Amino acid sequence: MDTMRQIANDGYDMIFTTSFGYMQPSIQLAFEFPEITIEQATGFVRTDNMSTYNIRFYEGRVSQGIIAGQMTKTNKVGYIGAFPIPEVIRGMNAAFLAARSVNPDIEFEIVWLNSWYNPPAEEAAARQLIANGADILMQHTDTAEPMKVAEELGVFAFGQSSDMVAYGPEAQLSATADKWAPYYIQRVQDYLDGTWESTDTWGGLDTEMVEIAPFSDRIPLRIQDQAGDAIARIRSGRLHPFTGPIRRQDGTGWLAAGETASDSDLLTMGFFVEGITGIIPR
Amino acid sequence: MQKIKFFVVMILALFTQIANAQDVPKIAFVYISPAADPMAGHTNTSVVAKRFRTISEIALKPLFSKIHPKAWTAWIPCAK
Repeated sequence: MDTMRQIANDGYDMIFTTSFGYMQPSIQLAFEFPEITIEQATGFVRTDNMSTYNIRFYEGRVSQGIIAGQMTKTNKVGYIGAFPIPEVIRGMNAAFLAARSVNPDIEFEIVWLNSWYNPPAEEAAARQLIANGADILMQHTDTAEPMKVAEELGVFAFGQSSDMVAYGPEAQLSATADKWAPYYIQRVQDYLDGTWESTDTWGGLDTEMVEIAPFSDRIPLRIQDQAGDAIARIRSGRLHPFTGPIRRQDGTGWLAAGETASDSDLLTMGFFVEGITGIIPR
Repeated sequence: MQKIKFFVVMILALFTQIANAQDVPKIAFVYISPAADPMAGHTNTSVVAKRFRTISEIALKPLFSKIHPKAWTAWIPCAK
């Protein structure tokens, strides 16, 4: 909060606070400095001078699940998570549901690091997951360390937030690439034009805020087509990654057959779906 | 006479600079600094550059300049 207040006192007109963890100090900043325009990433509280923006990262996980479910030989995917917040949990659930749709025997082993950025811990987690039998890695942390480990140990992995193929030319099967820049440009333009308003933006494959890196040629064409079809159907609105029947991990019902999750459900998601064996730290 | 002209030009330039500065939007990005992490000693710039937010911000600098040639952008590390 002190850093943000310092920025405000330094005369900044527009401040992008680019992480969920900045939500509370951003709210405080918005009330203390109503003349400043604030853009808060991945949060859910807005004020007259503070917008929220987010990316439907989970949409990118569907193609990864479809690929992982069919490329694994051990039926085990290792997943490195940052914080146990809805954004991360959604991605895990979306990937698992997609993987299970093509491989009913799939298992996910999940490790929580409680950090977005911790290269040594990410590396250690990757090594442990592989030692435990995972032959494909997924991650929702920010560095390329898991990809490097996958490359070194000869397993597959998916890049996170950007194309990490440079770190795993043999290992990377694909990646999600988050595209914040067009949003930033538009919002700054709105500010300069005097047309900025407090809004909520949550773009996905349809708005190209999340893109899918090229598929590895190690993936059989049949699987590439299947994954590509899912991407196309999500983009066009014909496929929702969370379509029932889906039960929660504890066996209770969540979505009935054909029912899709609301954005409200997704934004507050705090549980694993049935079939995931890990726990969500409280 | 030359001195007077020089001072007039300098004063005008100063006022122009002040006037322009008042129109310049200052934009800050607050992001999670690797330096905020106690294990940051293990990081390297290539890994940092691969962080999606960093990539976006690097890409934004010239793009912001296109929107507003005088736009100020700041990359301010901030611990959570």
